[in-house]
Amino acid sequence: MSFKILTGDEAVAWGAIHAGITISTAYPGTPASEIQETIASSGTGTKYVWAVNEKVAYENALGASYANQRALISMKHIGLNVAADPFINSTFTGVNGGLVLAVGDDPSMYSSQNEQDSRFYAQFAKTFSMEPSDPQEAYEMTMEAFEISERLRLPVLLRLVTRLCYGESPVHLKENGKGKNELKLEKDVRRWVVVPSHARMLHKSLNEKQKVLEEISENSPFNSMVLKSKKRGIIASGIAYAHAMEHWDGETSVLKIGTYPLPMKMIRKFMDYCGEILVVEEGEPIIEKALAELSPKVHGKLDGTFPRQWEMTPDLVAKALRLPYSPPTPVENLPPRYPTFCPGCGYNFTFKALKKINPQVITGDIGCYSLAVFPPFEAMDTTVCMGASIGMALGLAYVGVKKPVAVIGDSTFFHAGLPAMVDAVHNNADILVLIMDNELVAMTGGQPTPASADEGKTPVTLEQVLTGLGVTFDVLNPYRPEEELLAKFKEMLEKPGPVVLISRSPCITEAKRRAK
Amino acid sequence: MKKIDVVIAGVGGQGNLLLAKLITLTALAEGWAVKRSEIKGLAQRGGSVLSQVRIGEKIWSPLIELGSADFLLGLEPVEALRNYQFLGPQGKAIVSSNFAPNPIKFSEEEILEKARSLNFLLIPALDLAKKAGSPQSANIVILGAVSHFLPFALSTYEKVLKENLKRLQEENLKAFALGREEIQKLA
Repeated sequence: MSFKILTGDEAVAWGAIHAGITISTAYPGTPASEIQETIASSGTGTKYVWAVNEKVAYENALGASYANQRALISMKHIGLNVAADPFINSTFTGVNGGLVLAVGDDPSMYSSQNEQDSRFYAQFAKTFSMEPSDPQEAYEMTMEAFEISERLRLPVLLRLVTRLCYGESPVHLKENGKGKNELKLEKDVRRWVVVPSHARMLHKSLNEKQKVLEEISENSPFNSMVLKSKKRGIIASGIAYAHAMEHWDGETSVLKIGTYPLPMKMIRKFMDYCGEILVVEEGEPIIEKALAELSPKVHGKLDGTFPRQWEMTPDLVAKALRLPYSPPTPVENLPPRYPTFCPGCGYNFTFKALKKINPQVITGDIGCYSLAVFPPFEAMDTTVCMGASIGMALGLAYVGVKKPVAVIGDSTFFHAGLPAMVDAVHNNADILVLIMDNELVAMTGGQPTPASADEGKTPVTLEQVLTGLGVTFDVLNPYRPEEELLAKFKEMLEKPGPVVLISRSPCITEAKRRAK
Repeated sequence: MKKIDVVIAGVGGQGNLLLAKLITLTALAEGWAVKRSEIKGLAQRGGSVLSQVRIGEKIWSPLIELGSADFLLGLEPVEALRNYQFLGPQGKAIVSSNFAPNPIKFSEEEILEKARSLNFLLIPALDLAKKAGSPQSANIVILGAVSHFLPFALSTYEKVLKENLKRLQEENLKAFALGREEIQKLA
């Protein structure tokens, strides 16, 4: 045993390495990007792939699992919406090599569009999920998740949250990890080809597996109970368990939940023992709902003891337990600080020019350029999800809005903009697509895009793709004088049909980082 | 139960995360349990960055409650004031009086006046870092200042600084010493 100071993300990465993964796949997204970054810089030589999007990342891992290899996939919660299709069907096919999906939820939305709770996805897909309360547990659970995955032949979901991902503490690591699985192809079309006749049987067998999932949960060391006071009990899961224990008086009975499906036998025992019960969980009241069906003495988010939205904190636990809590009054009227483009970033100039052009409507997308919504630019009318800029601009054009401008980053374009771009050409839609090309995934720390010319990679350039689609396009250098930028925008907007303008300026923050 | 909760407020590029890491490593080297957490989502884009370091015999939550921090370290006065709610009744705010650039216009004097009225210990961290020969080391000046109050040996800080700062070691040690010296004039 040795110990290292690790964040939750780093602990998951090391857990996967020590579980003998052959491959890690991911699409970057806060707060989960650092999982694969850790594997990349681990010095272990573990193969890793930044896939074009989460769906492809998931399918990569499933392919590796088919060949009996262990694979880790990591993404942010919203990424699982994109990967939901293969994820859900892979609980029908099942897996061969252990397959673990680490998802970083973002309660309170520090860097996200929503705060959806990934535990729902595990429920929805009828598979096993685990929720660590600190980096040590993240490390151990990751290793155990691979074991469970191979035992159940199901993908296992690790539900992480921002505070776990970016919280750091010492972790005891094993000296030696497990070796890699043998590479083998065992074909079984009845499992792996989900045509209706097979799928019907697969759903039956997935349902039959549920008993085993429940048994594993009942016996898991990650669920534990301290029976003390009969008057009051706390049931807590994941990082919320840490927040609850912060205020533990040493007397209240505590049930810690770390695995799903819920260990209902254990929960029933606990509820029979205790009087009033406070449920402390991060995200939606999933545990609480299961309990509220059993007893009316359950308190949590459903009865207003805790707010329904935003992250759980020790502050909220203190208030729920009616402990002394009186923080000083906040200082008011402070000058705001808006996140904005880095000094010298080409985006500053492109958006300044775009604002002057003042198109009727600008649909935006997910990336650094989303910050154009804030002052001084205020040049973005919508931002919904990866790729929506082009899809929504099409809808606007279809109903008669003149030349909507869709703003999308280079990586986002490859991730989810391409299908809509194909539609734009096919339907001869009258839109301008402005691709903000900084030649990498900047917002999440500078990961490569398909256009990157890294060693051993073939760059797939925007020009190649756009030429292949047969769409009119041009390249803009945002560092040229403003008159030139304005003239170029006007010229492109006057052309009929779909047109694309690539504003190209390599990310300067990444350039500075690499120079260090 | 003994505990020391430290909140560090600043903006992207000020070395907030490094300062938190150095405090973490110093406390660990002295045998304490430590949890550190950070929110840095848009840090690279000039946004606010907040770190929390919790030191004690046993730490559960990585989060510090409002009204309970023992130290509020500010690499910038506005961000320190923005996080004033964290400070506990006996807590100390050790804050740089040098402002980080912000395109929004405001009166710096009013901000400093507000900080003084809340008993912030203001030190010109950036000016002192420049004096030490390393303008990037304002965070180390603040570390030197808080070291005056923390129960760790000077030799531990020195060891941690030397092990973790490969560049400008001498300048950083000087920045640390200047911070420590300056705070003693105020405290």
